[in-house]
Formats: sequence, C-alpha cells, structure tokens
Amino acid sequence: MSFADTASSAGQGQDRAKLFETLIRTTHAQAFQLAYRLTGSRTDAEDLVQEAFLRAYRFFHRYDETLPFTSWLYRIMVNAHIDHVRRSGRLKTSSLDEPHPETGGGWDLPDESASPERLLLEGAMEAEIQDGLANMTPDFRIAVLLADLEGMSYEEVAQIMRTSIGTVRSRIHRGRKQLRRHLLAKCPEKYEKLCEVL
Amino acid sequence: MSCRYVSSRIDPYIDGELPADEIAAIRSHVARCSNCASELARHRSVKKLVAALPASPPPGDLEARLVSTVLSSSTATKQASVSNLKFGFVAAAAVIAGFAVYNTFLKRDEAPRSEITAGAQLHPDRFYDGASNPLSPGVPVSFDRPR
Repeated sequence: MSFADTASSAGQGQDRAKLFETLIRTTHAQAFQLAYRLTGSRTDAEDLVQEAFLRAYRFFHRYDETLPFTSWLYRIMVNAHIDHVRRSGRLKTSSLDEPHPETGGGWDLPDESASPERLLLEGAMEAEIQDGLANMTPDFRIAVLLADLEGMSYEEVAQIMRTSIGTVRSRIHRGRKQLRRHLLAKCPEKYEKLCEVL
Repeated sequence: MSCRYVSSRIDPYIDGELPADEIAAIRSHVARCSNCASELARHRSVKKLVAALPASPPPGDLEARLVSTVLSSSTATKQASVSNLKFGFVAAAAVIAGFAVYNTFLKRDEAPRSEITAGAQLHPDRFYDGASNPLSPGVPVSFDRPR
C-alpha cells in the first residue's frame, strides 16, 4: 500500500500520530521480515524494527510523501543495522550443533533425505542460508536481501543504500558469490540437490 | 561477447536490469557456452534460495508494542522539551542574580586594588618596608632592599 493510499484510508485531515499509527500497522510485519534476515535473531529484529520506527517518527516531517514509505523506513533501518554492526563488531552466529539460542531446544531442520522439491517448499537450508547471510559483508548482505527478498530494483536499492547503481550491482554480485561459497562449504550435497530443481 | 563480460553481467541479467539488446546477446552466448551457463545457474539458484526463505511472522504483540512505544516517544520528547525550557529559565535567572551580586558587592572591593596596582606602576623605583605593602596592607614585604 502506498503512502497516499494509507493517508487516504486513514481519513483526510487526521493528525500525524494517527497517520503514523496506520503506517506501523500496515508495514511492521514486512519490516520485521527484513529485520529478521538482516540480524538473524528475532529478538534483535524486534529491537531493530522498533529503533527504525522510532527514528522514522522523530523525523517524519522530513519524509518525502512521493516516495514509498517502506523505502524510507528501510533506509532508516539499514542505517540503524549498520550502526549496530559497527558497534558490536559483527553479527551473532549460532552453531547448528548447539541448542537454538532463543528456544533453547533443537533446530527444526528439514529431513535431508526428502525430495528436493519438498526441501525447497519446507524452507530447506534456512539455517544454513541465514548463517551464510550473517557471515556476509554487511553491505553485500543488505543489497542481496533488498534485491532478492524484497524484490527491489537496483535503483531502489541504490536509493536506500545511498550509493550508485554500479555499486549495487557489484555488491549483489559479490554477495551472491559469498553466499554460494558458504553453502558449498557447509552443505554441498544439499545445495547441489536443490540447484537441480531451481 | 567474451565470457568475462558475460560473467560481469550475470547478476543484472538475472535481475532483469539490462537493456533488451544486451539480454538477447547474453542469452545467445549462454546457449553456446557451458561454463557461462553453469555460472548463470549457480547465481540464479542463490537468488531463488534467498527469495524462497520462509516468512517469519512477527510476535503477536509487536504491533501493539510498537504503536505504544513509538507514539509515546513524541510525548516524551515534548515533556523533555518543556523540562529543558524550565531548566533554561532557572539557569538564566541564576546567572542574572549572580551577576547582580558580583556588581553590587565584589566589584566594589576590587577598585582600590587596581588603584594601588596603578600607583605601583607609576613608581617602579619605590621600595617598600613591611608597613607599606601596596598589595596586601599589613603583610611584610619579603624581598631585600638593594645595596
């Protein structure tokens, strides 16, 4: 939903707080999805989404209403994520041999003996892909997720990352290579099996 | 078109970010080159894997928490601003009062001191005994009289 649609459905002449509340309600799930893939942790994703909305609300008067709200929100979220990564050094990664950090139990991994189609449908290799994303260079991870998960064009990614289309192209190329190397190193058989059906 | 050029264009090709004539040229090259076809398949598989990552729904109470926290942050900012304003008034009043006290009581005591200093400068060859210390009356001067 575009900003104009949201503003229209929320009622003309409403105050900014009411409008922003509508924007939170319509975009928070999508924002959480990206935040979760950026951080690799549901708890960190909640913090990142909250930080992004807090910053967005503080500077809402600067928002250009002709642009999609999510693009502006993602730009804020990406900056907050980079700030966090710089402060903490790197992302937390978890070993699949250890208990799940949030549930304390085991990892819900798909059965590797299942057919490739079924593996794909069940979100096979999710843990390995998430681990690969966490080990990627932050700028590459952001570019790949915006393009592949969010389906954004290079121009939109460039606007969010405040860089040129050429740089976005390079980051996506190198990011995908990093991720592929990671999957080939961690689970070559499963990766090759999935490649056959992709 | 060289394999090296195709390799540098594989990702924009997959993402539909190339002009039609370039897409046609790459498609033609890949149809004849197994190495480039393999590289294309590898990059495409990574894109599809990321795109196929399952949705991770947010916690049920996140929406309500966000609305509550974010919208109340504005109120907190306004309250902080009012508090800052009050603090500013108090601080300004304290500075003005301090300046008034300084002018009324302390500055008056400084006047004779500056006069004495000025007098001392007018008579550099004057030497003082303990009874006529110009800076601290009543305190003996410690330096010796020259011969």
